[in-house]
Amino acid sequence: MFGLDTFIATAVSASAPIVATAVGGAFAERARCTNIGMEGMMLMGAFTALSVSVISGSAWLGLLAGIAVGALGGVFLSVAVHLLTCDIIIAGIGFNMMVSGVTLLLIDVFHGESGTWAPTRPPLLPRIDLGAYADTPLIGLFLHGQSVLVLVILAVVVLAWIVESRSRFGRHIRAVGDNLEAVVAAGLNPTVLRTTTLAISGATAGLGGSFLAISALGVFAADMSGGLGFIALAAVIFAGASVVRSALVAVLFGLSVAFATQFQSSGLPVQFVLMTPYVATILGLLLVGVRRRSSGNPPIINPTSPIQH
Amino acid sequence: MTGSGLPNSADGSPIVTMRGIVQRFGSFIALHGVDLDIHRGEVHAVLGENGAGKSTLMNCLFGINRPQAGWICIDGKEVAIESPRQGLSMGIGMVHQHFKLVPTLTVADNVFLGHELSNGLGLVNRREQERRVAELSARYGLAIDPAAIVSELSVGAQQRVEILRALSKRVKVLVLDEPTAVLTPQEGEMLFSVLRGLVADGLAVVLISHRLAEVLRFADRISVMRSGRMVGSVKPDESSERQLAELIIGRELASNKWRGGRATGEPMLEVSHLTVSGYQGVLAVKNVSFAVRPGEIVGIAGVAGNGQTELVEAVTGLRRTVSGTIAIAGAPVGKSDPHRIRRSGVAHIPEDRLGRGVSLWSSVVDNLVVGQIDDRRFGTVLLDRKAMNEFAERLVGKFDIRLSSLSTHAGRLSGGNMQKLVVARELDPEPPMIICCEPSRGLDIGAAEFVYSQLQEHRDRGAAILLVSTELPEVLRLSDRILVMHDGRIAGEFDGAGRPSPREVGRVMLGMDALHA
Amino acid sequence: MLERLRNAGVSAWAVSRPSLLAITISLTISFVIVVAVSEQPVVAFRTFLGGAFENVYSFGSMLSIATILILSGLAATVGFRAGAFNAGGEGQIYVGALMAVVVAQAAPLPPPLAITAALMAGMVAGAIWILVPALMRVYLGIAEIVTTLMASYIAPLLTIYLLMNGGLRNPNAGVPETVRLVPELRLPRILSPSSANWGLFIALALVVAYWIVLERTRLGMRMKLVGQQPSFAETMGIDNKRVLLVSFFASGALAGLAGAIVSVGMDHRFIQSFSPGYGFLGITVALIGRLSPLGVILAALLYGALVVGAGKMQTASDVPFALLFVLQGVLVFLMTGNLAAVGRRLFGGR
Repeated sequence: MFGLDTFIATAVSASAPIVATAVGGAFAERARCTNIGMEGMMLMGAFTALSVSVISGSAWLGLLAGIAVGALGGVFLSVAVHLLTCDIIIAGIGFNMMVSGVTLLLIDVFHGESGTWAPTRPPLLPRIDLGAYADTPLIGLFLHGQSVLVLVILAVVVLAWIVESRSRFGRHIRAVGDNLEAVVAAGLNPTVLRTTTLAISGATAGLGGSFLAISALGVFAADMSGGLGFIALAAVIFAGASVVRSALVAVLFGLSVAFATQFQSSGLPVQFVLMTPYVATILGLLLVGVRRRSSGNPPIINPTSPIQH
Repeated sequence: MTGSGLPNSADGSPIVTMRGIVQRFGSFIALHGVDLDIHRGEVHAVLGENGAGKSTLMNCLFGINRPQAGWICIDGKEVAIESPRQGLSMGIGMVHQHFKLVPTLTVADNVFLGHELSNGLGLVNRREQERRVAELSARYGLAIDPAAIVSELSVGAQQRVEILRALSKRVKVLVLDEPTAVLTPQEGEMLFSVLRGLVADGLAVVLISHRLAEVLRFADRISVMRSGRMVGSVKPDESSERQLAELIIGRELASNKWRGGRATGEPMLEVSHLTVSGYQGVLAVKNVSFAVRPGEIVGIAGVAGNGQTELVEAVTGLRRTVSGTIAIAGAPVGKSDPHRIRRSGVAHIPEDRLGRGVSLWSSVVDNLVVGQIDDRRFGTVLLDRKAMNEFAERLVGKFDIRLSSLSTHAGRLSGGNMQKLVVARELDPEPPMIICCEPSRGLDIGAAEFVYSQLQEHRDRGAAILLVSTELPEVLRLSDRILVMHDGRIAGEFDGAGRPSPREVGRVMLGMDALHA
Repeated sequence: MLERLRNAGVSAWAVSRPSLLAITISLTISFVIVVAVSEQPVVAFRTFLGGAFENVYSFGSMLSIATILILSGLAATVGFRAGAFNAGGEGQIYVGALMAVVVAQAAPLPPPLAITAALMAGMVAGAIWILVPALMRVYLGIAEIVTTLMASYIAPLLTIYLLMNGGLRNPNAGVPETVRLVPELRLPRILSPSSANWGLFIALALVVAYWIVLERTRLGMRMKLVGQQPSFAETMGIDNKRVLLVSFFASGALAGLAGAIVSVGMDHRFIQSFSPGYGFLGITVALIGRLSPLGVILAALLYGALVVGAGKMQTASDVPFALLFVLQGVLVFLMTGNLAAVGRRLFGGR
């Protein structure tokens, strides 16, 4: 039986963390700072959000902490790239490895758990209760019963869109990505701009991570981000680094999960359900490549540089 | 010549005074103590060949370069300009040859980049920005749509955006680096009428150029530079193209070293109706046809950026062609395939020595052997390192490459030795066809002479040589025939034996004569 | 830009100095972490560093883990050399491991041949697993980093599905795993009862083979040229795309082989979630070894020792195994960054 309400609920909750992360990722990508580290920043955000929620007793404080730590992660990556002069891709991979180690270490040290930490009765963010309007078409269907974080994330998308299209900063990051010389000639500091975009990307990844940790279950599991950060990056690449389009593509990836979940009841093995977002991501990128090729933009062979001078 | 004359020079005090400017880059001296005065209300042209030091001098004024000696006064006060931002704040605006624009932003956003008109929340007041741009553009006759996206504008319109940006910052001096190089003649006319308006408004305009005709028509004063020195300052009505050309090129070089070759047989390289696109799909080579026969050196002269690079890349298979054909030893080359073209006997001494000529992080041995790597003498399955070393040692001796050891990275060699390395690799197999670009760039006289003598030797043994250079003296000295490229076309052809004078060739290079004999 | 990795004409000290410096700094950082989290930091840290050398068994464990790391490190190295970033070694290891078990059990061949076939099957599986990302990178210009990672999330899911639904699962085992290979179908052990096995010799032989290919064949020369300076390679008529594809497949095959040796040499079966991140550790090993053949061996031994040490530390003290992963991330930063430049920037000087 095809339950539209469960389908939509699954789609919304599967999309939300990807959407949040992709929105910030679009900023970084715009500034030519491909943020592979979003995966780790999500994980950091998830862990911090849950920890601070439990310690302070307030899930809202937890959320703020998750976002702040994600932003710090972005700054850290920027330092590695600008001060240590690491290749941004490889530094991002290193960052993910490090975060995955640190979170594992911390849940072991503080909670004596290996891999999964499930605190008893953790504070969670409230759910949206539309009361009498719960059955309103559309709004009720999409929002009722979801975490308020869904609303927060929607607000972030709108805010990011305004910043991107209307603000000075939006113009500056576009300039950094498109013509560095123009930025320098205009007297702006590209390093500061790039660091800011990475911090923003970290903050929204922290938001996405918080969604994983304190919206529904209140559990942290090692590598619970499960590649969502990479998927968000793929969405950003697919959308050509535009905020709204990145969010929409992220929703598409979330929909693929909802579809697969629907098919599970009709016999699709759980493993195939779980691999759906990854397959969808590869297919999405394939589409990008084919489109780029047919539009006559020849692919560039640019080696990744692990160790530089 | 326009009639405005020198309106504000009555008091004789220039807005900018530069004295004794010296600029060194490493051991290379780009400016040998240059003086320049810029007056309010005049268009001041700085003329000179590529590398004469025009742009370097202006970069000193704009704050991109920091001169090692000399001083600069603006409005009578000595200043130190340390960054473009500072230069701008002192009223110096520069329109670069390569625009510093953000292609994805609108005209108004580009004009106000970095000092946007915004409210307290950092949100940009688009309407106000666009209104101001419209106002500026109306005032100076710079027709533009303030809301248009820059990447969708023509080159001429993009240049107007650059000018508007400078004007929005209320500059006193506007420097334009080769502004007409990218414009159509009509756009050029429009630009000059705009510049006229600016000087009438009290600005000073500095025009860096190598085009004699336009400078004579539009400038109020002309300064000529050659090899880092100021060699003359004239007024257009007291000068002529002939006099300026002599100033630019200098004394005619002794051409007694020229030694002709004897072209024989069928063409080794035959290019017909070749059209190639360059950066961002703009046509760089337009319907070019020529042939190179064994035993001759065909020189391609021209100011840099007139399609020579794209032509060579097409001929060596590194760039796709749009239309036309290339045949090597009579066999047409189909799709671009550098491997096949090399195998058919085409040696390539590239212009971009560091990017294409040598593998900077590989040993000298690998750099020398890679040209003939498929040869069995270097081993069948496994490479025979001993044979490779012996081969490299022989070439190092034969071409007198100075190095500490054969395993040294090529990137550590001096420019001259690096070029010898390229020459050794490319010429040792005695290829029937040699394509040689900018053979003496960055080399001292001794190393350059060596490369010249190698080219002549190979020509004499019967190789067909295509020499591409922006250095007119070396083209004149080596070539049996000279083709001049201008704006992607062959604009003139000279017989080397007739010993054309640099002035004759130079006129075609500078686009003065549409087509010469 | 692989320039710092080229060591022609440079002393061994100059080549290894940055690695040693990075290792020293990151070990210092991990010591600080140990002091911060532990009640008995000295015991913990000593076990972490020295645990692998306490007895023959742990030394053997170290060798067996180093075997896998040599191969996965080599896989990353081969990719990096030609300018390809295979971040999905983990996935290739999983498919290689399962494929090896299946082929070993199913192949109607005498044992030595069956083992060979199993190892080859692992390589083929690994190469297939990188096929799509490789083609997308070479022909469509899509960054391989995301696609290899995605493929690497898919692999464990696919293998577990095949394990559960392909009739491969050992019904008597608690954890999802295949039945054990019969003794004849296992790679012989060395230093029994530890899990060290002949796979080590295979790995070492492949390092030598890699060195020969890199330094003594035309293919190796082309790989290096393409990775260092594609514009030069193109000018010399080298087909960048073909060389890149070859490197991708070699990289996938080596990671697949690493998985196969886990199955046929170490565990003698395929176990769900068997890898502690061998694929990602391979990237670290490649970077610590500065992409040199000998460097990869040394880095794999070092990291093998740390893996064993971390396991012992976890039981012997209150410091968890995860310290190893923290260290791994730190090392990636330090190995790929320019420490000398940072030093100059922070402390002035030359």
